[in-house]
Amino acid sequence: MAGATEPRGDAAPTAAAESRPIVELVGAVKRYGEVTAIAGVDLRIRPRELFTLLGPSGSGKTTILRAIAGLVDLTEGELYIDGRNMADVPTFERNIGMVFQSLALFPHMTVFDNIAFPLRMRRRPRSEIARRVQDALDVVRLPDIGRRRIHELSGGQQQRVALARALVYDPKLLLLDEPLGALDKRLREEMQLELVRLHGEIDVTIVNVTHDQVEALMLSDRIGVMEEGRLVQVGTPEEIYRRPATRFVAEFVGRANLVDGVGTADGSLLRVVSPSGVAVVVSELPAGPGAAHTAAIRAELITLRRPDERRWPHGLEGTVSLRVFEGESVYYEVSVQGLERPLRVASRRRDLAVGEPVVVEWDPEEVAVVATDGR
Amino acid sequence: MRDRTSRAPDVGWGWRLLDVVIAVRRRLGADRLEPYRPYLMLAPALALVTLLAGGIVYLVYLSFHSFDTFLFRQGPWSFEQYRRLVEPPSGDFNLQTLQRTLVISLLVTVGAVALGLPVAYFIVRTRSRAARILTLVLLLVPFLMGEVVRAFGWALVLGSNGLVAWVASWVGADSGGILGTPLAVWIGMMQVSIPLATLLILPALTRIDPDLERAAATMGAPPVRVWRHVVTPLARPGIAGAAAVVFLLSVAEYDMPAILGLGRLPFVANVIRSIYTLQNNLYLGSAFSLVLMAISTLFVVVLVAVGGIRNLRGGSDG
Repeated sequence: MAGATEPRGDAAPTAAAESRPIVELVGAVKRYGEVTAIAGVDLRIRPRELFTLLGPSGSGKTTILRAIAGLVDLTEGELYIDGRNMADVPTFERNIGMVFQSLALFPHMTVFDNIAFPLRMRRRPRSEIARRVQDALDVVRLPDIGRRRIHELSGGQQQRVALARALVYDPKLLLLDEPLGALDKRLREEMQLELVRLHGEIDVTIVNVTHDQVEALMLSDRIGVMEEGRLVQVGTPEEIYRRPATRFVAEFVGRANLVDGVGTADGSLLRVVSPSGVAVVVSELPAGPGAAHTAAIRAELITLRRPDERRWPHGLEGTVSLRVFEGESVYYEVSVQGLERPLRVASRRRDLAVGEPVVVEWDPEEVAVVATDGR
Repeated sequence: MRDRTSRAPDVGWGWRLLDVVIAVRRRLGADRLEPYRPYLMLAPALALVTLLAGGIVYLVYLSFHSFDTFLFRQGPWSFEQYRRLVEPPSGDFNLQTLQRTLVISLLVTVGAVALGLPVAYFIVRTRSRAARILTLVLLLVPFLMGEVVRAFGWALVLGSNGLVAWVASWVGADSGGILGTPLAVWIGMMQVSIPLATLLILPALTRIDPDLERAAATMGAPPVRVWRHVVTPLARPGIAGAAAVVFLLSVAEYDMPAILGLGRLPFVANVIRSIYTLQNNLYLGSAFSLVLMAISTLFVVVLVAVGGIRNLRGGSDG
């Protein structure tokens, strides 16, 4: 029974935040008629962190972001920013920077006027506006484009202008509503690095929304995973990746192979055994032997061996059914007797051909196990 | 063989019919006309415009001729009609009429756009489908009845025994209604002008991304400033278009001044009518029509230049 009930990543946010949260949601609910967009969310975002709300479309992440901005009124629950209840504070008084998915740059203004807009709304003097707009353009590394119009810019330049406009008035809080979604892959990666760099240079808390789990893992100090209006897990990227709290998180983050079954203990050997008899050796069973569990084996943590190279008695035997060269690694699919879907494997090994018998091995410590109450 | 039986017979017939159509077109050589098709489709509109242009040319021709009202005979080329328009005995009256027409039309235009813009905005931004449809239907109601019927309806409301006089007597102001005042004419004209302006502004507002307004709010713009700096400038082409149409229709207004103005406040159209029918003077009437047309055209040109031309060009300029 060793290590059967070690506590896992908690679904509720950890109350042990050292400092006062800059954003706090308490029992937040938003309903549109019959539809519930967010169903009771408690969330604390710490000052200066880059927090990502991660989830599929329709999971409520954008609604949370818009509630923080005041663009959406909560049906129930409270929102505090910097300790102040925001119930009666309209959007334009919240002093928040926000970059929209559509970027929402004003097409009838020049780049300069776009970035100057928030300063003009604050009635800053002309000379200060000119100086700060130039500073903001320098920060996003576009010093010479102030006179241009929005439609003359490339997609990446528009991103940077939108970012500069959201940062020019030094808001404490920057909200990003999937602004990188529309970019092509290379530009997106470049902008992600840019964000990390900016976050290091500027004293700002960033709340980012995305459905791209790679982006979330790469950028974030902490991630909150959303499922159907609920925050199912909050943690560091590593916690989310290695210790998913639910089957949904395990499936959504990373490329994992899920095996549903019942936990069994044979001495110190812990296994999740599927109804068809496939046994996955794991290092722990959170709900104890006899309970339903799901084992999640990451594609990149699997080792493939030929039958004669076998080193571990508990590996699964199968046949290579697909081989795709991906550059850094080779993607294989391995059919295993008793599993509905072939196992997905990202391997350094390039010498295995389709149809070849192989043994699939893994380190039980690296397998995430989630109690699944019979699902 | 199998292919043929597996195909549903009706589908086969449909295709065969198309084959026949194509074959007939080929035989007739209709394909040769293909490059000209856009122009062919324009033909009816072109015919109409040509006809109208012909009419205007005829008006110009008439207006630059002298006319002997006694002998009823056309004289030689001259500026006589335009002179008579501004010279005694009726010059002052004509100029007054022109001024009245332009001022009231301008006030109608400003009022219709100012009141139509919020209505259009409501229709575009409301979350409730029912409210949107209801508002649109209500906007169309004034167009369902004839202008004369509407004018007499307003005459009942605004007249000495009407609603306005009744309310005024309650407040203590003893007015005999407001029929025969510029206000009555203005109100009567507003009834169609507001819905018209609303419907014309609608497409321009629909094109504005609501995120722009949200973004402006996050950057510290209260609603009034969002309107001033974001909504109105982006709706400018629509506003300019609506203003032009409402103004042109107002300038040509006939029934409202005749009925609600009790004939005391004629518009240019009313005067032209009496010149045409009472004095039987096509030549003077043509001149007055052309003067009004020239002023209206100038107004529209200025509107487009100031209001929307840059945006109408789709922002392709630098």
